[in-house]
Amino acid sequence: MELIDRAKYVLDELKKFSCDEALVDLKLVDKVEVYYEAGKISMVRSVFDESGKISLIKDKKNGEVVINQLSKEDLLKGAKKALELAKDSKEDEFLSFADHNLVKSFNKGPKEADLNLMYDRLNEFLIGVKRDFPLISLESGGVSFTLNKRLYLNSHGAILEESKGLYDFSMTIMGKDDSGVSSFNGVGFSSESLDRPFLDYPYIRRTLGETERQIEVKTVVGEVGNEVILHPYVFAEMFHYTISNFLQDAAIYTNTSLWKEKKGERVASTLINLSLNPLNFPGGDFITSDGFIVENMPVIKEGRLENFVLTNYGARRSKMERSKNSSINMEMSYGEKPLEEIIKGVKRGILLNRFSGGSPAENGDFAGIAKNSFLIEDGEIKEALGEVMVSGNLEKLFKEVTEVSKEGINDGYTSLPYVKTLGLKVFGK
Amino acid sequence: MAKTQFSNYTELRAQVNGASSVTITDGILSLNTTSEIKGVSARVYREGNYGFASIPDYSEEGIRKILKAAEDNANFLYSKNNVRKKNFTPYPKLEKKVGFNMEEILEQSYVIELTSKIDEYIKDKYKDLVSRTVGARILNFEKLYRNTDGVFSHSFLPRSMIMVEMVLMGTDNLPVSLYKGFGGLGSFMDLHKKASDYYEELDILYKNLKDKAEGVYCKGGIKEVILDAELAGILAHEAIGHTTEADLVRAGSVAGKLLNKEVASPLITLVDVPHHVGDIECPVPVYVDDEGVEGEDVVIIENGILKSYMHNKESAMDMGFKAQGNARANAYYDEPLIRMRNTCIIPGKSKLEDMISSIDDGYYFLKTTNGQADSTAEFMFGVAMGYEIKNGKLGKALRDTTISGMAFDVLKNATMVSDELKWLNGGWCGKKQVIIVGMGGPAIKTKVNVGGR
Repeated sequence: MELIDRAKYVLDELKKFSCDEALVDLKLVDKVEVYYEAGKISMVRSVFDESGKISLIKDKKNGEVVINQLSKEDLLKGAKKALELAKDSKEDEFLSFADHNLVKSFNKGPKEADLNLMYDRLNEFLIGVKRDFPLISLESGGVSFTLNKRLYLNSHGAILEESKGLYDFSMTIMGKDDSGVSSFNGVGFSSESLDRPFLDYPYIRRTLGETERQIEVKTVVGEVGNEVILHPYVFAEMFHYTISNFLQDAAIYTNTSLWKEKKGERVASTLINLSLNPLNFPGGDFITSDGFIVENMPVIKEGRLENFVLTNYGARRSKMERSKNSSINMEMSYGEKPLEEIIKGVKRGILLNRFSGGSPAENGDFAGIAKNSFLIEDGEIKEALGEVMVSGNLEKLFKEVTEVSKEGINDGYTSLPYVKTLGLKVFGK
Repeated sequence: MAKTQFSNYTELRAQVNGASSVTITDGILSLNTTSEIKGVSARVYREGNYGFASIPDYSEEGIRKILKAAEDNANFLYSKNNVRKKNFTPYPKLEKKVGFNMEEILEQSYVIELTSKIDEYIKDKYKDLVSRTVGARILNFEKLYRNTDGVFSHSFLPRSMIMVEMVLMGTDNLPVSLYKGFGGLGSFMDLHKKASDYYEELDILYKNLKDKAEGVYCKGGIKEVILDAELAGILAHEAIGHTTEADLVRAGSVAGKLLNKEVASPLITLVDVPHHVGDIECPVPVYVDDEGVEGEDVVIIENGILKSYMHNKESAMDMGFKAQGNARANAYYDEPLIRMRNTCIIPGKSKLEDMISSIDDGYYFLKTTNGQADSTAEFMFGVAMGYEIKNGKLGKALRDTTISGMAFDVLKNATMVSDELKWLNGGWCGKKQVIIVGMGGPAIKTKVNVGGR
């Protein structure tokens, strides 16, 4: 019996149990990974996995089961267990599954891995790093290929299929010589092909070069200044926190979001144009986690809040509009000025390449350590910094953005520039 | 799994990860789910080249398929790679079955009823809360392991937690939250019997939150502090433990040059424990690891001297040590990595009240939000709860803050260590695969960099 027939069978069985609504969401993963450790390729790993989520609403009560054995019998057993869970559950008037009957299929990327090419590209990278960046210690990382298939059906008649083939590369590195060691650093990318050597990605080379210069760090005393240039990954992290604290389901329906009433209002500098655009990235999904077809969506446009990031459930519970996606695929308009020009304009501040900190408090306050970062003085990058803390507030950080760089990082999941803000405090010991 | 059938060292692991989750937010049951993820993996080692494969299929055919796939992967790598190492010296044969004294049949209705009662208590008693969340997270790990050296083990490890978060509006009209987890090792029904067992702790949590809502922000800079058990535990795990994992040592972590050197105050002894401290079973008992090595204590720091690292079979062989049971994998499809188990600082002789009274101007930090460490041993922890110490007495409560420092310096500056060991409830570690760990310790008096506002 084909997978889709098994899914339809289970859905039909659930209808017989007089469920209000039901869904079957099946995922198949076929992954192969070539992994390195301590600079040497050490493992080839193959993973075949599958999982099935069966969820239902009966008498306004929900039960949900996830299993990874997808025979007809296992799925039926899972359906019965979900029914049991629903019976013991509590009424929730906001429950509802994707209310559409679209039948669609989406495909992208290759269908199978080129294992020889994966090995060769990784090996070429390791050799190239040893040649061009002798102070880099290649701690661990690797290249993987994953074919993700998803089949989503629900009792409204929706049948959505998705197939995505994707290569991912990641590296964790540090700089090392006789005098010491730098902080961990790392970058990666996702792509539908491995047509380019990994060292051809400018931001990978930049990260390797910068890490070599971070072995020796300077400690500073007192305030360092408030001109901070955020690396695209740090900016992504801050935007991620902003979504979580101010824009997502729980923050909205528990009334802890400071932006709940701010749709259409200025919440950031007019330089900020931020969207969630899964359709623009190889790593993006076609189907939302709750069974809708993904559309791209602006979140902040010229500093004004355009959209929240709400699932169907979050929207119903908050009595607001469902968002077109709730992805991690951030995309921001780049500016006119090259990064080097922005650096030239800094009197005293830092290039914040990595932030090690806790999740911000509900009010947006956060603090942490500047990692892999550099002091900037009189328009020039100076020493790498050690034991420097950065603190601030998410709202202030976004409002006080003064410059956005012309170049940035597009790693297949996000595309973001460097951003300068005056909304943070930086201080040493 | 007779050795003669295999030309290379081979491991086979069957595993079931079961989970149940319930979340009640502001009285609405918004999550009611169970999951069961099971399958088999094989790993083959050929002269320094690993092949790994996994499949969600317990059948003989499935097992044959992944054994072949793992062998093919190892052979592929062997044919492409110029890595050639000797094979592992066999570790002792053993057969072990552990953890089955806690088996139970858990009804989700029991979990929902208990968490609902806790939620109702909070709702009825604390009417000024902006929001409240009560949840349960139940995890069960069952593993069957066999290797070609003649090791067989069968283990069952349950963790059952209840979590409560309360949110209150602060004096500045901004939300303030506090979280607490209850439970740990054991079955849900054994650990969580009645909602009323938690009322006293919930009252304390609410009082702490109320104090925090009226609390002050820390003054930034290097301060004399007491890190309570939660923070000492996270310091042991994140800031010291990771730097002494042999894979990170080989890559160049700061601990690589410190073996047999003084790295902490003589008051500090730091151990990664497989299953027991004295007669007490640890939060995450690991009797046999996922390479078939029986768990032993790894004494990382003894009276201030760095004594050893944590290893898997390969790093131990490469560096001339013995593996002591630190190779762990989270799910059936994960390969074992060098991981901590239960990492703690051994208690000293001081009394907490004496430690507090010895500080004129400092802080007492009690609860963390998270922690991150580095190859350099520079760490940062979020602090969710604490108090000022003024003239030897506890003062006002604190708002959220962050502390940081160089871990070995912080331990060198330790001047008092309390006499009580407490474990952090529900610890996790996120190195490549997220896995459950234990971390704990006594309270420590030292100096750290405190983040101001």
